[in-house]
This record gives sequence, structure tokens and C-alpha cells, in this order.
Amino acid sequence: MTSISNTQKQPVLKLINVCKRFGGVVAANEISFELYAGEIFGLIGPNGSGKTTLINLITGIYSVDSGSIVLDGKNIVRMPIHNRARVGIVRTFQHPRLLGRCDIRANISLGKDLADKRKIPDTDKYQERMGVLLEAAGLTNVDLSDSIEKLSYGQQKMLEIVRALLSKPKVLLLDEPAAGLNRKEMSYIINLIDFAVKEDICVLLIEHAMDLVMSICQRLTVLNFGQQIASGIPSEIQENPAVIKAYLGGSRNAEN
Amino acid sequence: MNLQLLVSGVSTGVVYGLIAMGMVLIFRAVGVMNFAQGEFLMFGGYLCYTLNRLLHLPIGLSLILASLLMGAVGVIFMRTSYWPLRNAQARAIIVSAMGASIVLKEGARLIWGSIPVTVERVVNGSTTLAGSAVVQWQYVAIIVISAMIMALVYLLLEKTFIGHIMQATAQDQYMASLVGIPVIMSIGLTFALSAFLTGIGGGLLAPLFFLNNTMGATAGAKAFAAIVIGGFGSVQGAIIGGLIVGLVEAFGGAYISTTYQLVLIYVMLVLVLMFRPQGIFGGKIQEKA
Repeated sequence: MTSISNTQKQPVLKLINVCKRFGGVVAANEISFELYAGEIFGLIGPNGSGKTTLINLITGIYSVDSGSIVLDGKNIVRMPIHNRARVGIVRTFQHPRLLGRCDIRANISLGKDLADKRKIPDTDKYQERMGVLLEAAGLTNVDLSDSIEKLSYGQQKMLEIVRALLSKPKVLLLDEPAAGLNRKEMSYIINLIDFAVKEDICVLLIEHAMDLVMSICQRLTVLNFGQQIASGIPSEIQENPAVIKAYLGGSRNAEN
Repeated sequence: MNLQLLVSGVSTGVVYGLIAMGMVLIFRAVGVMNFAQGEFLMFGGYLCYTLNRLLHLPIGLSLILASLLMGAVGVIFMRTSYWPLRNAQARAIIVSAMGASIVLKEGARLIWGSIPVTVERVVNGSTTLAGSAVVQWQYVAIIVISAMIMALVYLLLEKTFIGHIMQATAQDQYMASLVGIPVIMSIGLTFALSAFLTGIGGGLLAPLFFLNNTMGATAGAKAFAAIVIGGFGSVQGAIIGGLIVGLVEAFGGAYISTTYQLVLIYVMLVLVLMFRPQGIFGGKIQEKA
């Protein structure tokens, strides 16, 4: 993965002073960062620091109290959820959310439906693309007419990312993709993230597995109690005393 | 004699099946039983009466227009009684539907009065089968039309894009919106389809049972029994359950007593709940996440 000179490029997604409180709890306080095409941006912080809230603000599940979320120069804070998906913001969940009463093919085809809605021109190459994605996800041996329950937990997480990538999004928000996965499955996740980067999709990665975050993210930002306590490249973050105090706790894998 | 009962039982049974199907579609979409479903039957019947008897349109056209209008009623019903409460507890939605059922019932009394009315039959006359069984063509028409509608709904749900959207929304509204599905549109379509299905039943049954503004409650209760017997949340179960309720009603009415028709249905409901609480098609009790 090559490093990008951010100064020459326009950000794809930009958060400007985003604030959100739930009663007395400040879940996001003046959060600002930019995501560039083909970049992997890490979002880390202890449990309850507001990472998933940020994803919910970006996808539109929660509305922001103040601040802007700008996609390709357009403020999207008032856009309804399904339209944000249609302009190219997709996410996955910490615990995979798939349609349990439908087969695997139907679940994947939701991604194609979204691509059609997005009027992505080359969806005629859908089969080929799906094949590449399923291979990257290690799902080639899976019978697509099986029900979702036949898949392991890890395979379900992979399927969610495949579905998200099939829609050719601009922004992919990954909420703890590696949680609960074994080494082998972790390598599939990295394959899928590589695929996204090659397509110039920007990836926002929330993850507790520090070795993964530190090895693949170009930049990251650290949240604690809804505050951005540090931002920068992985080596800087690892040395940052505030981060070590709040999160890393001296260990590289504080949460596990 | 038996054949005659069988045909009338199956024909009322398929209409209960239509009502039950409508209920199941809404239940699957929003996770709450619609306690105004029976009123959709009554209202659909009255709309058909208005078109057929007051505006003198042919019965076929009246049935089609009435059921399409019921689709619009379904959307209005969704927008006013469900949508504002979509994030509230289920019991709030149930009470709201009960309120809406009173509005529909008393609204119908205001518009059409409380004297029972009827509409034309789709087909007149009857035929004699197997020597002595007199079968009215209207019963046959009900069975054929309902079966066609059920088949079309099955195709719509399983084979079309709209059906996939509705199924996805029914399973996970939040996730559906994240893959670009507008939830309000999808749920609106579900309510429209549900009211359409149930409303056409009103127009079909009207020549046999007369329409009155309080018929919804009984019909709704029978459809509810059909759903429980067939298996909660299952579309096939709703159809089979509807048929069973219709047959029990017809044969019980003939061989035991017409007074105890409803009692027989409820006795069967209790038996099913005691020995097979998940119903015929319910593999497991489905809990909405």
C-alpha cells in the first residue's frame, strides 16, 4: 500500500466539528477528520469512547447536534439513511447483520441492488466482480443457495463486507471486522480491504486488534469519552503518552 | 351434501386465508399484529358496494377498483396509525391500531349507515354435482379468484425486486436502509398489499353474508385463529389455517350447531395451542430482532 500525499487531493469524506450528545453524555465532541480515496483510516479508542456512534452519525442513524459531514464537497447531514447509502456510504456491523430468512445469494444481491440504485455503469461485470470478491473472502466453496445459518460467524462477517463492496461504495465503514476471527479469517479481511483500496474506496476501520490497525492504517485518530485525543500516523500514535494512558495501557492489545 | 359443505367451507376459508395473509405480511414487516385487519375486509366490502350498487359499475370492475382503493387506504392507515409510533413500544402500536379500527368501523356507519347491504355476485346461479350437491358458482369464483391472488402475491414476494425490498425491510429495517432501501416506501407497500388482499375478500364475501359495519371484528378474530393454527408469521400457514377455520365453520355449523360455529373455532385454537403451540408451519416461534 502506497502512502498518499494528502495535500494534493480533495478528501472524499470530511467530518467538521461533529458533535453529538445523549442527555448528559457527550458521545462526540468537535470531531474532525478527513478520508481520502484509497486510504485506510483507523479509528481507535476504548469501549464506549464513541467510535460506533461516529459510524452511526456518518450513516445517518443518528443526526448530528452540530457540525457537518461532507461527502465529495456536499454536506449530507440532512440526508436520509437510504440516500446516504445510495451516494456511496456503506458499513458493516460488529455483529454481522444479514437476512436470516433469505439464502446467501439473496443477501449478496442486496449489494448489487444498491449498485444498480447508484447507477454504477459497469455492473454488467457483476458476476466476475462477485467471483473475485468471494475468492478474496475465502467463500468460493460456499453454496450460494444455502441459508445464512450454514455460514460460520467469520464467514458471515466476510459476506457483509462482500455485500458492501459489491455496491462499489465511496466510503466503507468497518466496525471491528476482525473481532472474533481466527488468523486465517483475518487474512481474508486484509484481502478484502486490499480490494477496497485498489478500487480507491476510502476505508474507515474501527478495530481493537492493535497489530492489524498499526500495520495497515495510513493514519488514525484516537477517541476517548467522545474526545479526539490524538491523530496521526501509527508510529506517532504508539508513542503518544495520552494514548498510552487512555487506551493502550502499556500493552499492545489492551482490549483482549 | 358433503361436497356442498366442502365448497362453501373452502371458499370462506380462502377469504380468511386472504385476511390472515394480510395480517402476516404486516406482522412480518413491523413485528406487531394489526388489530384493524378485519376492518379492512369490511371497508373493502363497502367500497365495492359503493362502486357496484351506488355508481352502478360492473362487479368485476368494482372489485378491482375497490381493492386498489384499499391499497391507498392501507398507505393512509400506515402513515397515520403506525409510522408516527414506529419507534414506540409494540403495545402503543397495538392500541393505535385498535383506535384506527374504531375509526374505520364508525366511519363506515356514518358513511353507509348500519343497515346491512350487499353487492352483485361475480357469477350467478348454481350447479348440481354428484347427484345432490348444489354448488353456487359464487363459491367457486371466490376460490378461483383468491387462489389466483395468492399465487400472484407469492410471485410478487419471491420473484420481483419490490418483493425483495419488502422482505429485506421485514427482516431488518435498519439494515435495509443501509443498503439504500427507503423504509417508509417499503413498509407503505406492505400495508397497501395487505389492505388490498383483505379488501378484495370483503367484496367477494358480500353477496353471501351481507355487509355491516361490525363484521370486521369477527372476521379479524377468525383470521387471527387461522394464523395461530397455521403457524405465526408463516404465509403458507396463514392460507392453510384459513382453510381449516373455514372448513371447521362449515362442517361444524352443519353437523353440530350454527350457534357454536365460533366456539368450535376457538376450541380448535385452544387444542392447537395446547398440543402444537408453534402451529402447523411454525418451525419455531419467530422473535423479531
